[in-house]
Amino acid sequence: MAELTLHDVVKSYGEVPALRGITLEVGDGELLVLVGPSGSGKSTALRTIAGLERVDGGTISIDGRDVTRLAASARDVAMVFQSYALFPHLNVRENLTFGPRARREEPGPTGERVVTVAEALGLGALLERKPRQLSGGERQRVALARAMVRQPAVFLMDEPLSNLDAQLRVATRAEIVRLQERLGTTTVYVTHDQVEALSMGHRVAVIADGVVHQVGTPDEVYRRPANTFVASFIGSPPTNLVSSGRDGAMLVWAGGWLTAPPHAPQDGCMIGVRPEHLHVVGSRWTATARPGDLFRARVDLIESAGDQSILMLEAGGALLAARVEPTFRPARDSIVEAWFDPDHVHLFDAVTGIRIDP
Amino acid sequence: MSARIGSYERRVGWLASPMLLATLVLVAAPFVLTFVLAFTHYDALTSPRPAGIQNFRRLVSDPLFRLSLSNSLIFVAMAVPLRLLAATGTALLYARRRRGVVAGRGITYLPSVVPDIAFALLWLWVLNPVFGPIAQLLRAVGLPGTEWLLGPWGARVSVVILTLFQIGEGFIVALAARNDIPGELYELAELERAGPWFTFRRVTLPMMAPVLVLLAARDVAFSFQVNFVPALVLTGGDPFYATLFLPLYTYQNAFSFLRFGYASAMTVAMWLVTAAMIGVALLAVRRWREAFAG
Repeated sequence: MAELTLHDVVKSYGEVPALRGITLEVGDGELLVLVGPSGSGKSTALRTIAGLERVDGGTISIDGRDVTRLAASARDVAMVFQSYALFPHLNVRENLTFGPRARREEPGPTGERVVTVAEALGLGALLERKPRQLSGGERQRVALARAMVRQPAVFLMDEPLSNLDAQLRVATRAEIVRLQERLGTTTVYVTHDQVEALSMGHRVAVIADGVVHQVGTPDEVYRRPANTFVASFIGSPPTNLVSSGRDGAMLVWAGGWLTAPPHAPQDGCMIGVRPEHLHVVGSRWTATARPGDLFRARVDLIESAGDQSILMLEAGGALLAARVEPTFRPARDSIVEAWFDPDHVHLFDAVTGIRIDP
Repeated sequence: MSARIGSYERRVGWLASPMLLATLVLVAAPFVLTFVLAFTHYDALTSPRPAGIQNFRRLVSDPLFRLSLSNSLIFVAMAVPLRLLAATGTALLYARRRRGVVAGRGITYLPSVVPDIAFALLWLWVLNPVFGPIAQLLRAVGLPGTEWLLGPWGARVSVVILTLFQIGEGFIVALAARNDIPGELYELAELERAGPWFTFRRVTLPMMAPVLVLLAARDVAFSFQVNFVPALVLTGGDPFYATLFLPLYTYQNAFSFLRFGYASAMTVAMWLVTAAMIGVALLAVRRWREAFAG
């Protein structure tokens, strides 16, 4: 049980900056997901928390104790690695008791804890197996179990699901969330998968280029992206972004125009619209939406995904994604009419990309 | 497609042919010839005369053969563990990139590429009890010199020390085995508060074990032969036959006493002993593999 705080953490590898002033607060018992593209610094951030990387500046504290200069062994954190880092020459039981034996813990209580944890994760029958005799999902659970046996102040998980197939990943996602809730251990979870981030995190921190772009609940990050990067990174397909200029009461973009919302700046801005808020005339899903300023677009591509379809529309040189019902299938290259939902248009500064709020 | 594969194999065959020819002429042919000559009397001047198993009978009753065999076994028992320890120790010392590691790796490997004769001659001077640098250094600080090297055990130890510096190949293999262990296992060990000794005992050693046992098996075979040049140049088999190892005694029989048949029988005996020891080592490797394979 612990709070975790990072304050202005800076880290670079030679000339290459990896973290450029990361500030984060993770509450006691919270599950915070660090999400970002590869090379964003999210794994480096996790490794600095673990103490596996030294920071160049800033402070890290766990439960109010400054651990910035402490060795990894003194921080009381447990880590689940992407590769699982299981010892190939030790069986499951020996892997689970590696830490307790290293710390010379009493074998009696440890043994009971190992059995409890193993049973909880469905590993009871596998205790005598070697890692090579286990499936990918089982190995992943052994790595989780080992971290749980530790009973640390903080769990750190570095893309623990990325080596699993899609089906198992969804199931294990839910399993980790349930376990974390039951144990109530403060957890930092790193992933590049924004779906994983939104579905698992109590809060989500979006990282890119060594900078935290936004921290918030999944709902906040999705509905009120702090800048154009978050808008385009979170959500699949990403938010449609077009740049616009101002003409009197109108925002004019390459494919059409839009009645300027009251908070729109005088000198143009970026317009962001999620695919579900780009409405197409004729689609039943948009029949009840508030009408807006229509523009004409060419149907470039239709991607079916079973329960929905994504229309790729071309308007004024911009490619825009619209979410429609799967039965709505306009012909390719036909012209449709569409509009941006005026209640769900995001505006961003044309230069900085920062969100403009009403 | 098959034509291209065929031409590829032909090219490989051509490229390998000089090596194959050399192996045939320098290894395979002498190997077969040795087995044939072992059953003859042959002085290289007259034609070989059939001898049946007389040479082997003579081996059993030859006190010098028994002595050289036991000298060789003593050498293996001393040199192999020490050489393995040195190779593993230096590999662990120079495993991680740090200041001076590249130089250290070079220094560890270099003696192995010095020609054996040059290396032995160098040590002849280094260990000289009268004017050698070690003896002079010891005397300069008031310690007794290196006269003890003149005794039987001193001579044996000298040869062992000399071969301890030629561990380049074992060092490279051990280094590769160490660096093959994923770094994350060490990070995990650190996070679990495992101390260096615990980590070494529970992670490094068992994960390197299969390679180390294989190295030991190879070194056993190697050590039967490696002492030939030092024994010939440094000690000449003396004092009191203390460094008369099997290869040296075989060499003397063949080229000094012109008893090629007898020397061949001796070589066959040495081959059998080596094969038996490697067989035991490989059995051990299989056990370890079963226990530790990832």
